[in-house]
Amino acid sequence: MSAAAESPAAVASADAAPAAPDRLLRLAAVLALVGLGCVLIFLMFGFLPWTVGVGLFLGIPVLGVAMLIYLYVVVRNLKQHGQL
Amino acid sequence: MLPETQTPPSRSRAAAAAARFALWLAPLALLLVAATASRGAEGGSAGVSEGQLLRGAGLFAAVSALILLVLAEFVFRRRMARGTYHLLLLVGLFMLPVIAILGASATVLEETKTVASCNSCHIMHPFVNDMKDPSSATLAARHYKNGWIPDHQCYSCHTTYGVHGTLEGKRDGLRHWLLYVTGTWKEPINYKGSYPNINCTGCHAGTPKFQRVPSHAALNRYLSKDQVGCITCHGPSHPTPLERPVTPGKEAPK
Repeated sequence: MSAAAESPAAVASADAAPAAPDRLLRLAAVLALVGLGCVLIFLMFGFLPWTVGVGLFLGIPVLGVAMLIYLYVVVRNLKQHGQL
Repeated sequence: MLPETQTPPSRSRAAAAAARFALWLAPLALLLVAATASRGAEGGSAGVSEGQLLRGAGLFAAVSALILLVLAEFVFRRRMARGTYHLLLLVGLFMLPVIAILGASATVLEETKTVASCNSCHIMHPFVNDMKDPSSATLAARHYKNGWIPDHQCYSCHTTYGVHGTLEGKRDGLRHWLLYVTGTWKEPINYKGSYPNINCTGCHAGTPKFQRVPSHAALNRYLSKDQVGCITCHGPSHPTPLERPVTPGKEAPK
């Protein structure tokens, strides 16, 4: 192992979050933001015909898809690292 | 070069920002739960119901997850330790959204029981207005003004007992919502769900007033099998189609 690889800066960079975002994780985050926003609208404005449509029939499915993508990425990464 | 035990300045700044965020979350949560509780008190109910509490939890979780995700994914990702990043994603993309979904689901289950939720569609206004009219003689109005059903008046009469009744009620609610938002309902609106006599006899059958009426005893066999409906003699339960205003553009074909 080289001296550079053992330096604290190198250790710090290896320990840092990835510089380039995982595209699937970024997609999950964006979908979660949309879904959470819709659910938040329903929770804030209460039970109205339009809030039910936005919060329940749009927000929850979108949020569910985001969570599934996140779980897929977690399982994929665990398999890549031989943990599963 | 930094000593091994020292964290890079950018990393400490991110940690400090995360700590500040955590400090903001607690009062925010208290504010949201207090706001939800005060709304419940304004509605006239005593204390905070489970539904209101879960709604507050859902609000808190949704707001926290939104802030957390924006910070973790779009603001601090490059300056964050890998472990912290993954932990924040676990919280923001999984744990808090689960709480938000549970809060929203519980809110729906609770809110759909209220008269206000039925009245949120304008085609229900004639029914609710009549129910709250002290001079009306319909069954719904008599039950309302005499306080025979303390709360959730629509839900109490229109939902059959047991899980089957609850599921049927939610299914009907979904159908009504679809008809309303797509504007495909037909005037005059008619009740299409089942209305078993147990919805009435569940409260009335055991009372001395009910048992004193000879026709109730004579018709008992038919009443228990739903071969004769309670509203055959005791109706109308709501204003008849002729007594209700028709939604503009929804006049019945002649």
